[in-house]
Amino acid sequence: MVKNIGLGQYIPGNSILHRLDPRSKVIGTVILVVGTFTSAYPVETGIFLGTVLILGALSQVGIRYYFDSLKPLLYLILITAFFQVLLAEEELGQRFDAALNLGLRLFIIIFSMQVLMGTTSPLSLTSGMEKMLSPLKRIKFPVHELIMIMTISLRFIPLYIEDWERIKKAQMSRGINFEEKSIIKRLKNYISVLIPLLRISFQRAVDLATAMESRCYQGEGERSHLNVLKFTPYDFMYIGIIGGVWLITIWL
Amino acid sequence: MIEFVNVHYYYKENSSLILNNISFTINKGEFIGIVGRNGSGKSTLARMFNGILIPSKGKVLVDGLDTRKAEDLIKIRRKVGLLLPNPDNQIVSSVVEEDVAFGLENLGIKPEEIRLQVDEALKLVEMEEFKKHPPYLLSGGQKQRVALAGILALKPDYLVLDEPTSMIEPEGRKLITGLLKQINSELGVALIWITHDLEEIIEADRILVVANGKVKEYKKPKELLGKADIWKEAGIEPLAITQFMQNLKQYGIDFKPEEFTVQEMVDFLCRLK
Amino acid sequence: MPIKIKGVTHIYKKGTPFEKKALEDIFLNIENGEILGIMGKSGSGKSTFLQLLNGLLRPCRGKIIVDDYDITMIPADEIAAVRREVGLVFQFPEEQIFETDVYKEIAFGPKNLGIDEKKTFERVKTAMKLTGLEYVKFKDRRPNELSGGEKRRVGIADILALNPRYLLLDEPFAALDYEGRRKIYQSIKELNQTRGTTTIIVSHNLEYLVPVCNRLLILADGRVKLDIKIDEIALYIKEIKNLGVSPPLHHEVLYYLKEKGFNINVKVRTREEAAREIAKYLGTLKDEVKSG
Repeated sequence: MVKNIGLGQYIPGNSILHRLDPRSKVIGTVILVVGTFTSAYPVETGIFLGTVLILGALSQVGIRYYFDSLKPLLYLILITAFFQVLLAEEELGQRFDAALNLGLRLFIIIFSMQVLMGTTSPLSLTSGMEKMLSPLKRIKFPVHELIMIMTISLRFIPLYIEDWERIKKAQMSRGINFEEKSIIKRLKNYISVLIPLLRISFQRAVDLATAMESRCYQGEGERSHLNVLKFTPYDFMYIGIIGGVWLITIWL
Repeated sequence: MIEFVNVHYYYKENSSLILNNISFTINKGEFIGIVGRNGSGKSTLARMFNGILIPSKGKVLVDGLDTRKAEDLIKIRRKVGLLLPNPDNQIVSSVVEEDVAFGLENLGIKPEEIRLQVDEALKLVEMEEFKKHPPYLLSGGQKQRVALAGILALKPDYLVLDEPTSMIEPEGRKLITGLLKQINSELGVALIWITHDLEEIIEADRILVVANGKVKEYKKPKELLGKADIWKEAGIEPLAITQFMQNLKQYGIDFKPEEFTVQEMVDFLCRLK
Repeated sequence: MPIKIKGVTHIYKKGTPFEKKALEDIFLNIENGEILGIMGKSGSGKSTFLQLLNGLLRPCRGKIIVDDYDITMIPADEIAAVRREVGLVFQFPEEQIFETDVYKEIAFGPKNLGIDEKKTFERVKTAMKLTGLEYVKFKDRRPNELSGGEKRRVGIADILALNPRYLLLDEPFAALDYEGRRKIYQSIKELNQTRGTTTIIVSHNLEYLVPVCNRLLILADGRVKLDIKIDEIALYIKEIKNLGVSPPLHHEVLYYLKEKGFNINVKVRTREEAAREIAKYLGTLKDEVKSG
């Protein structure tokens, strides 16, 4: 089982944002990211900040989620800002201002992605992507294969984490020490986990292929879907509002 | 009807035969047990029923369709479902109901129709309350029932079961075994059940013993309980009751009928007092 | 020296909303040379119990005394020594195989401990003999040339090559055929007779434990619910059934016979012994068998 709430973990819920079509959320996020990058500081950036904070509140996944999953990125923002202060050539006051400027933009961008990931299940995200990318099929881009790979990866990642931990424990009880001081020896010891993991993965892949073929998977051709994506008036409203915010910042 | 006609199987030309000239037929609605030692070729055999493996020589016909013909494979696979031992390796999707839908989606069936079939299949395996769950939060037995539902959603006529309970915790086993037998008796789906556990297939109509690349066929395993040599060849442990009856015979207590429950045995011994 | 477990409690993810009690307040002495069988449903704490005994997990409370040392107090960088003394064979040990042939695979453990070639060779040979893998026939085999049962035994030999004084086996019979199970019984018995190795076996099937064990423990909800000698099973049929475990058939028969007024000795272990007792009571025991 995946233990900690990681970066971009989906939090099941029933908020307005949860119920939106994944495609409109992806489009909305793209607008927010592009808009934030191109916005003028500080008024327009401030408008975007306000927008993502409102979205954060609407998502109803709790402030704790944003705080926990942003924490590691906070360091990144701070370090970037720190170098900005240290290395830029302007006066100190201006340098702080520039640092804040950059830090704020990064924060908004990451936060908007958090809103997307927190309210959209990985699976509906992939089917949203499949729909959005489907025009690319015309230029022979393997959209379907790409999406199937994503779907299967999502399914198997928790299994691999389990496999990894189980084999590591089994090797530890054979006296293999994974906390060896010498890095070379430690890496060598990890081979004893990697090789069995590869073998298990191979077995899983063979079985999975058998099971998929047995259930009439053909690789090509049209597949249908259990859950059909559908735009509702709310989706148009959502894109409209975010697009509107963008237009306002451009107009300003 | 599934027909194996003079089926041979080898990995390479001139390498040793995994299956050596095997012929048998299985009828609709039958319950067939397949037994044999680890490595006897049972799993290879299992993969030939729906054209995952193709005979090196000879042919397999499913209701007259030849598994060697690529264009008939989808038709064959709709008729013949295959359940593997490890549920984790068979589940494709991260949401239970979407996994059950996988086969139907492959066939391009309409969403409303898929919804009906998925709900029906989940109900059949008693998993409807978990339809929105991610599989990795389920127990082994529950996962295997999801995998089974994914096959049943395609409404197969034949179900090939490759040691379906060997990786499952004991509490989960009984439920799956019961469900499978119910699917056979109530829906008329034929079962082709590979196992090391005699108890699972004791009610089968016939059993096939796989050994040294050959298949031997026996009727009604229930009537063969005392035949130690058959089970020995199949690498299967006789039922505890059969073994106990043999121990008692050694000590001069003879049994006339070969079939017994614990209570019947106790009553029988009481009468000897 | 026996293993003494004093008031051990283990809780997973303590202090989080996912907190889960695996074992609660366990008191237990395991005597030298004992072969102890442990049963319980999944989630009853069986696997946790084994991992606590060899120091892979540390209990939240309580002491585990092995060879007079409280292993819960041993610092992390010395715990490896405990794992050698108390060998733990995980479920499906064949998964851990990573070397290119059987000899190298089994030799890895002792070599890793810094044991020289000659002694390693002796250890590999003994471990293979104990697990019924003929040395000359199997030493150069690649893992994929082995059957399921043979791979399982290589996985067990991996641990035996560390010369553990205690052996813990988690579901060693899972997914094996009859023949494979019998070979593992032989290994456990031989190890116990030749080295006096104390062995603990976790299994979900009581019929599998009866042929080798001399003591039975049933766990439920993280507690020891039943702790009896294996030949006392027929006296505790009701309790065993109430714990959701199916008792061995011959013990059940003995239990019912006793209830129906048979004045019979029910303290037996194997089917054969049970049959003998019944025959003795019914007077069908033939003379030649009686003397033998």
